[in-house]
Amino acid sequence: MTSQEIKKNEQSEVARRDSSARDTYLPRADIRETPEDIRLVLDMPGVDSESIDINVERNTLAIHGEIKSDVNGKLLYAEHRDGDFYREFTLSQDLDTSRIEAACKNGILEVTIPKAEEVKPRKIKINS
Amino acid sequence: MLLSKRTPFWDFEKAFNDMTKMFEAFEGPLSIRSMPRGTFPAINIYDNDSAILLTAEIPGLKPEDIDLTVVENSVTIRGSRQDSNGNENEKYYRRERPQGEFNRTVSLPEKVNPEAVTAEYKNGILTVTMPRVEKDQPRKITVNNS
Repeated sequence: MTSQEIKKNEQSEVARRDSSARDTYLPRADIRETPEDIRLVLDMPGVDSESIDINVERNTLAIHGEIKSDVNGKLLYAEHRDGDFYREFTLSQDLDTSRIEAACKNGILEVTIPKAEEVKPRKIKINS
Repeated sequence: MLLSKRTPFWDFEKAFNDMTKMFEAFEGPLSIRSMPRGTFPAINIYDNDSAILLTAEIPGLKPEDIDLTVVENSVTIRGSRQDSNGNENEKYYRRERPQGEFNRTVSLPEKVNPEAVTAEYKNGILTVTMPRVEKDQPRKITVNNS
């Protein structure tokens, strides 16, 4: 690779970063376990069910929420900044990733991941 | 303030977060928005010439459960965030979301007319539009040709 090519590559790298320059933030999450499933609850204010993307790839659950801010005015004071939400979770092998359900209401996303049948608690009958 | 008790070292946490952010690659998510844990909800204030706008991130409430008070130069937001409290069979692995009562008052940069305030709650964001007092609104003055 000539030095010119290297330079060009570096530039394109920089350009790519700039064009996709949308900040992402980790949404706050609660994780809780019930006998049947694992529930994730995420605070994602400003997101509705259309702007959420949930992807499962092997054992990673990725949640992306797009924020569209439409406030017009000059910003005087800010505690929350513009940006999308993104967070990944690693799933255990004991979960049934084919039956994941999600619901979004009032800016809260709730994802329910059922446990695989074979790991659910079972009562064993004792035969006399 | 209930929330800050749980993490008395939030300022250290914030400094740490900021440092992590500095060294982090450009890509990938930033950390959880760094603000002191005690300040819930997070508030932004905007100014367009006719009104002061306030947005607050309060996911998971019903509009009727938000107690909003506006006086001439300050806004108070009160409410309570409660999860459907789990039964004994449930086990928490992680609790990052602030719970419980909150009460926040912010002062406004300009005087507003409390009679004309409107508020909207959508997707967990409360937007309050507070028209400025009329005599304080910026006026355009035309220059006459003499």
